[in-house]
Amino acid sequence: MSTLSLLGVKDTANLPKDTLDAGRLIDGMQVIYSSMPDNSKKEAFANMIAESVRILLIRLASIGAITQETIEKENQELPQEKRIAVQAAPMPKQNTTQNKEKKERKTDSEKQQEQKPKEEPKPDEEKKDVTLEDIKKTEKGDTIISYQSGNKVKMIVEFNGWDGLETRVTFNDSGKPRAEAYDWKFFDDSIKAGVKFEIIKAEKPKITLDDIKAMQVGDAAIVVFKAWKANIKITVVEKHEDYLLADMRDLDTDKLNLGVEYHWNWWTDRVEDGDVEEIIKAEKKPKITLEDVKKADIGDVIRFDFADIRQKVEYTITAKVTNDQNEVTGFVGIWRSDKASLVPNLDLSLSYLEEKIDLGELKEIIKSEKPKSNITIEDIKSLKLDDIVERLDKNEKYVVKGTNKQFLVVDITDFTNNRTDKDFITYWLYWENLIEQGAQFKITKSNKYATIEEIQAMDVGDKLQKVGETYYWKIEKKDGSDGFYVTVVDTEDGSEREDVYVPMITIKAAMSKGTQYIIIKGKQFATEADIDALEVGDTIENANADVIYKITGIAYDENQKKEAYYTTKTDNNTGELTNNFPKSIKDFKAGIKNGLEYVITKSGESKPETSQLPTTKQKKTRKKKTEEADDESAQTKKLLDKLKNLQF
Amino acid sequence: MTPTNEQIASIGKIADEFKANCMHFSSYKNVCSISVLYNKETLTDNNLVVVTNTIYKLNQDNQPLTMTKNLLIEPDGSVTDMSDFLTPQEQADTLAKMTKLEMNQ
Repeated sequence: MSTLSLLGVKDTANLPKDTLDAGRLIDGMQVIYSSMPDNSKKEAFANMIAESVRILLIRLASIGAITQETIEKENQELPQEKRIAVQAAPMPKQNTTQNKEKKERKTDSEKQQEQKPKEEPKPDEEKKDVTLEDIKKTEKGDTIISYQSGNKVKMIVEFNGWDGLETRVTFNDSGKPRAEAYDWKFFDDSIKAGVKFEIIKAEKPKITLDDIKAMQVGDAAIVVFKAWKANIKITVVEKHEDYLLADMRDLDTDKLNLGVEYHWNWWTDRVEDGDVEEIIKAEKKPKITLEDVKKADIGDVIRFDFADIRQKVEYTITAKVTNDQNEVTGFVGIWRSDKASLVPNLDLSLSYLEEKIDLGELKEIIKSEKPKSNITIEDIKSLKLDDIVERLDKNEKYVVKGTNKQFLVVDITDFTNNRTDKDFITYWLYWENLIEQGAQFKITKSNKYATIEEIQAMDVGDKLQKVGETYYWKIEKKDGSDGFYVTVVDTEDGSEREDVYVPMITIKAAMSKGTQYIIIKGKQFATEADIDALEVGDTIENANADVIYKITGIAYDENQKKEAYYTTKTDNNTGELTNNFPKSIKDFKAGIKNGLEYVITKSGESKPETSQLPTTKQKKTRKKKTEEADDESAQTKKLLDKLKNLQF
Repeated sequence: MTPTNEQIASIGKIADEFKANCMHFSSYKNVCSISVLYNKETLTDNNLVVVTNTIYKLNQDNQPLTMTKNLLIEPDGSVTDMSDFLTPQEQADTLAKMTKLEMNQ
């Protein structure tokens, strides 16, 4: 005798195929069980069969193949822990096309409503049993709960239709809610099989006539006529004193009626009957223009919403189509629809896009988020010979080997593929493309060669050498910023040629052709400020006359301002040495103004160029020297008192 | 200011090209012009600048579209377009300090 017969199924011919197969499977399991040796595995197998029978019973009860009495009878035969709670789990009904379409009717506000945490429903044994009529009266947002075998099944009503409910189901409050549809027969059978349901009504804010009157053009109202189960969406086109002119879409049939007048008295009835389910505010996005579309670039996504065919499309631009004048005439891109299969290379003309803008179906242009490069093309154009550009996002290195008005000659090393391309010509377009792609660079300037600004800032005495030449220019005099008077010095034999004038324009022209210069700094000549800052112990050399002054004391005027220095003067030309030689600050400064060049050696510094830190011994020596200088200064001060009124 | 032989040779080449262009657009001869300038402020500056104004094409209404070039001629005869290394303003500033070299010079 088969399992189905044992369970009391009288007419197996009318059973659904899955149920029939399940019965046969249990028959087979029983055959295997009977041939198994007695061991722990056999016991486990018996439990498996018992569980299968229990599930089959639920299924049979839900389709009305067996009676309540049969279940109770079978239940009694099962061990206590295996007995059924005489409640059937809601079985999902197969989705129909119509159901699917209805599900897509969700609006953003509905989605938000779904996401709101619902009050935890609890079984209430004292409540009146829920009837099929109660379930038929449920509305969108209501929650229907059933408990069975310790499982909680929560159904949130999405849509109440003629034939049943569309719901979002959660089992045991876990997992993502599943969209499921149940017909009235399912609920009827479940109730008859003893399944207890509980209904929790959704709390909805009541929509008033004022809310309706506050609607703006583009806003929409969802109206549900409960009496005859009709759902319509009314989208305001124009606002009038007495009525709203609107487009009406029947959400069940998708039929669209344009320009319907909805007067306030009609709305009053709808509000009083509670038919107005929701008001959907129009999106306040700026209208997209054809100019916006023309500005779209590769990687950008154009979003369409074809409301009439309920299709949403994302079009990713992969290429721009341009005419001879380089004007955009269309795009090539990937067409991704939520309903149809993907179209990889679809051309869209500007006229098509313009039409979609007019129809309001072109909803949005989402600009692709390109990473911004950390340099500009001007940085690249300013590169010089031997400068290094590292591409951080690609592990590549470019070494500049030549410059030009239109391109750079570079050696490219690709560290990823361990490959080097020598003397590779890279036009500005090459770099512009990399920058456009958001490439990240690190530029290391070669400090070896002078910039035009550095050359312009050169001082008298500095030397400028053209790379590759066997001579350098020694700056003798500056002609403002226009050029230099120089002596040409041969680097091989040191011979000097007569002064020549080098206009700055010549240097600029040569640099534009790739000529590089090196600056060799000459002696640093004292400025007027340096003269003011002289201290006892410092030496100041008149480079033009080969005379050295060592400061031994300082003379102050009545306002305690430095007025003169007492010096030990050494004339290297005559070998004459003069102690306590007074030299006024005015005199030094006048010399500078007249082109005299003074080189200062600060106290404790053996050479102006040396910048090493002094050793302990040097420090001690310096201290001693300073003490001596202080003594000298004290003596000088005594003398100064006598000489205070002297004019130098 | 005495141009070097190299400068004279370079100017000769530029003048030949200039002449060819003017011949081509001979009906617009008033547009064509060439002049040689030198630094009047710094006589030790031996650079010369050749300024040419030539027609490079005609527009749809047969009106000439002209192009002005400032060419630096260094004493060694090397020719450099000043727009390669100077901005338009810098070129104008440079030319402002220069004066036209008489043809017999």
